Amino acid sequence: MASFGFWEPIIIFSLLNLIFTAGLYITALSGQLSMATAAFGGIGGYVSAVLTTNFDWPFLPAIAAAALAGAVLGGLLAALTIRMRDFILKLTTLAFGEAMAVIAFNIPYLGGANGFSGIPLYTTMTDIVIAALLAIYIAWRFDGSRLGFASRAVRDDPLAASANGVSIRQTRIITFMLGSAIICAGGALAAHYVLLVTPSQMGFYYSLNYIIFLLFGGLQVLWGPLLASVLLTAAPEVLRFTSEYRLILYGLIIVMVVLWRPDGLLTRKKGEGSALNPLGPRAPDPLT
Amino acid sequence: MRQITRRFGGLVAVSDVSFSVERNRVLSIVGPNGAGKTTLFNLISGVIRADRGSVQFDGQDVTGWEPDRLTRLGLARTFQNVRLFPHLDALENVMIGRFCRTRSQVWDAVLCLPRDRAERRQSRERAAELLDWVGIGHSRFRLPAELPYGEQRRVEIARALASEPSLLILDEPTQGMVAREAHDVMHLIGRLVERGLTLMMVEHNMNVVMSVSDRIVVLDFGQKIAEGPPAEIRADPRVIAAYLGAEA
Ligand SMILES: Nc1ncnc2c1ncn2[C@@H]1O[C@H](COP(=O)(O)OP(=O)(O)O)[C@@H](O)[C@H]1O
Ligand SMILES: [Mg+2]
Repeated sequence: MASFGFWEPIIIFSLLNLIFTAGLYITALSGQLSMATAAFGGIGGYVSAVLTTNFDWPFLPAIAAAALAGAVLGGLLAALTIRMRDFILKLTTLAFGEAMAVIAFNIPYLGGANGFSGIPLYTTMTDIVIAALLAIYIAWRFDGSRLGFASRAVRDDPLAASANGVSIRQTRIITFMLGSAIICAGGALAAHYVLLVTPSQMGFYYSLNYIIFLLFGGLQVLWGPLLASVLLTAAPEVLRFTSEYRLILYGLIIVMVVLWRPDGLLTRKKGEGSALNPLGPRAPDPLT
Repeated sequence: MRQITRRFGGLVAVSDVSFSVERNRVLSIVGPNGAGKTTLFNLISGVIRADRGSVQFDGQDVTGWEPDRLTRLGLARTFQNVRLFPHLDALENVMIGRFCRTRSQVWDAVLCLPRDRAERRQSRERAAELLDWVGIGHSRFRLPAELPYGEQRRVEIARALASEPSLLILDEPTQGMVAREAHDVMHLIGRLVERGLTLMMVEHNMNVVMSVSDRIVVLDFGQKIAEGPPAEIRADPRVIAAYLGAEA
């Protein structure tokens, strides 16, 4: 693919963040606002880095292995937090993320505090574009599916969902598995572009970015957070903000969202005669 | 033949209550506010756990089952204080009721397999039919907050019916409805029984209770004080005493 010069890293990091945000959106669909996004990204990065560097795995199987690791760990974390609500669940995902960073920090095989280096450069612009499209497609298909709507029901009212035949356990585990698999695959792609995975990048400080993308974009419509992730990643770079200004920008954005659009950029309020109406008038009495 | 028995002790809200309802019959629970009627329904539907006692459904012991498992087995309910999903429109709320009767998995959705496409279409159509049937097809794309209270109740009934229950539990289905609307809903409920559903409900309108019920259980302070056919209950001195005592 042609060189994008100045734009290349901006596009690549925007799309990587879009992939992470798609994963977090799926995780949050059943009401689990995970604070461990960066930790899962790091795990995906370590898995793929070790397999390619030390075991000579090709790129694609290594990404698949990272996604699998994400699904397994995400499923375990969901099973652990199944009975928790809101605040405690967030704290537990936060603790999980920090614990993963500490574990990576203390494993000399993974490079300890310096991180794992010497990772082969595999990820190209083409790869990132394909991966982002794939992540969007998977998230979009899941979002509108039977399990996607069941997850929304659990997020809105777990008790009513359960009393109407939706398993809280099933939806929470599936969304955490699928979301984490997407995030870990994204982490693998990032590792083979940045060529370094460190424990510090797994911390809460980085996970917070994705929560901001999600809340800014809105929890209800996939396109909101995806748009927010690209905008909020690219804008500071394009405007050549320094990192202090970026924090001020984030602060301003949060205040703006809270004041003007507490439900985020995009919401899914529909009305009568909406373009989304796929059904014409129907005949009465279904029970005959 | 279905037998539902429930015994409790220890719990103040409902204590040592036993009863059963036969297939295709209507059982009403009546009693003053705070008698424990809602608590009883919560126990039967698995929303809260009993300290003591057991529940049988279709000859199976279902004590302590999760609510979603009971729904799959054929038990559906509505809530006294309507609990619709606020971010889903009326149609999508009813489609949630189809969840336990559909099978498609993550890969079906991602790969656009025929099962996913067929189930999506059928769930939408079925939900739309049910909304038409309860008389609010025109509001199918409204969010719960945009609907009047009576319509919200009807969405909830449609959502419960979407899971194809054999036993439907209604907690004050006409509460907050004007007389005309309440009449319509009771008419629909009557038609459900004609089609073979078993019904258990709490209802405060005594005329309605007397006319639709096969049996009535009277609760007071968490205890069953009477049980029998409407005519018998109407004449029961203890029931009259409890009602006069509560409402005088
Ligand atoms: N979750 C709860 N915690 C404490 N007390 C409760 C709870 N639910 C119900 N109660 C009490 O149990 C009694 C029965 O309540 P309820 O079943 O709602 O009565 P009813 O539906 O017959 O009006 C009431 O005294 C109520 O205050
Ligand atoms: Mg009640």
